[in-house]
Amino acid sequence: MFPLPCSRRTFLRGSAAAAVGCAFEFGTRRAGARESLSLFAFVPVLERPQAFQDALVLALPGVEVTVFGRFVDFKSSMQGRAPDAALALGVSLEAAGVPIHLRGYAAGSATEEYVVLAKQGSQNTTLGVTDVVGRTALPAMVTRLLGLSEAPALQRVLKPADLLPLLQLDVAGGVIIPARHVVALRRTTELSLYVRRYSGAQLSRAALHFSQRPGTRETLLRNSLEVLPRVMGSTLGIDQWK
Amino acid sequence: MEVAPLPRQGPVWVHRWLLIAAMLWGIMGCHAEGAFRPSLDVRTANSPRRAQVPMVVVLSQNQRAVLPFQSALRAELAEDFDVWSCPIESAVDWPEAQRLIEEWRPVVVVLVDNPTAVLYRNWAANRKAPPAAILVMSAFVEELQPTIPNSVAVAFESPAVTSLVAVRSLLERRINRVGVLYREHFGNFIERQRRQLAEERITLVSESLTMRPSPAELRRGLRRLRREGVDALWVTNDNVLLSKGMLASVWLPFAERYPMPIVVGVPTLVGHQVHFGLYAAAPDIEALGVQTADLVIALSSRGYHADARQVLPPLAARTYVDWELARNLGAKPALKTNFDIVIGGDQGRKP
Repeated sequence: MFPLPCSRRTFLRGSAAAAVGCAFEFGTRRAGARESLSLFAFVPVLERPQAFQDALVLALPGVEVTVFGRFVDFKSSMQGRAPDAALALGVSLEAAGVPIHLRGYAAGSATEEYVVLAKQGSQNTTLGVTDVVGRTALPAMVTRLLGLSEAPALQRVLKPADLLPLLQLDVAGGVIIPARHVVALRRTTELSLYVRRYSGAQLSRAALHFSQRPGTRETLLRNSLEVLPRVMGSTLGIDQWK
Repeated sequence: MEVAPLPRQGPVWVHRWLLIAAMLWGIMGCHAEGAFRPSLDVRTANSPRRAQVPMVVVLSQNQRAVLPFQSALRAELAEDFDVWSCPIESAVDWPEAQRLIEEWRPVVVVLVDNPTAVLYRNWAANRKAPPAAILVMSAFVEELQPTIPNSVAVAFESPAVTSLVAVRSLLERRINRVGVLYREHFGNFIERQRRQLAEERITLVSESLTMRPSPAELRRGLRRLRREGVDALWVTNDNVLLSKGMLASVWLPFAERYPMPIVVGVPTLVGHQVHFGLYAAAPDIEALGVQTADLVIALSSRGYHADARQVLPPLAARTYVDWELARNLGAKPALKTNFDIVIGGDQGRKP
């Protein structure tokens, strides 16, 4: 037995105090964890995922934000440790099998136009697209979106920033993007590009799902998320929730 | 210019592969610090094999670098394929790997890195109908892929055009002419980049060097580029040109004397200890896993038969910028969020 640097009674008292302290600290942390609200986000934005996450964290103090880069991870996480809320395009929430409780609107519309930005003179018929619904559901989504009779050859990417390289490297002859992204993309490149419009090519804007747990959590989170259209409206393409 | 056949062993091959290994190490260091347990044995990560489900086997040497790649590949293919991994620490492990391939009979083998690809190539060459192979995270894929039967490859060097266009958008200065030094062996690679850059209205001004250039030859090459009036430099992933000695005696003094945007392919050359590279783009390992999954699906729709010659570019990159250098060169502050890793500056952002 090693010698104690103090009396046995003092040592026992000290140990008991430390144990109580640890238990209190642990309890506080658990209580804190219970109180913090959680949000999962999976939205294709022009910014890099880390920058998007930083902006969300800044806009939503007290909310634990997790940004996903791949639909498959978003879907499996939604099925596992469900968050208090999820922010994603309407099609992504539907593909993940969760209901939509609030829809993002811009200029009075809950949907936005998608176009094909194509490279002049390219013979490549493959279309580049950001994967927002998962590999297996993507061809059907694109076919519906563009009103085609059969699925085109697709090259999917994980984020909108990876679409321009598809054109630069001739992996695709055109890319499918929200019409509001055309100006930003054109500003970046000197490629000769043109816009192809498709009648009825609309997809739902960013939307919200709440886990609808009892108590005030949903109200708290709804209040927090009210700020998003104001502070991140241009990133998300929305000006209000309805 | 013709590129000489791939040397199976030799300084070029080894140097190039070492640089890629260093790049992988650098990416992993920044990519997910502390997220990986080096002791993790991926053999234990293989889920039970399902009956009638086709198998994809991943053969790799560098386990740490491969984990996010494998995780993405598994997640994307989980519904339709069993994805198993088989680590090959060295050539000693190859007979065991070979036995497993013969026993498992995978429809696709994913070859991660050059040493693994070379071991597999020797085995596949003696097979009547080897499985389809996808070569990733390797150097010299243009030369290596045609030597592996029934294979496709994804290059592991971000194309110059994506990097230079990103830098052009970032800076409030003209970038029309970009200089590059290369060893004569890599002429074809440079010509491909030149064509892609031309579409973006960027002129590539290139200077060929001998296969074993001295510091003086490299210095002369840089002076010639400067006389040609280049607006920026693109430094290729060539470990000979980027050796410690060349960096210290040629590149760094040049960068200090003539400040200009320098685009590199290795994240460790961007603002860690010295200000040299303004920007680096390295392949996104996770996205590469998704791209490989898509190739597996494409192969399955063609009965697992690959084209004779097919090397695809990596479709996504992780981007690194030295913000202090960028600010000095006239960066647009609003575009700071366009980069994955921002090093230095008032609000440096690291993972």
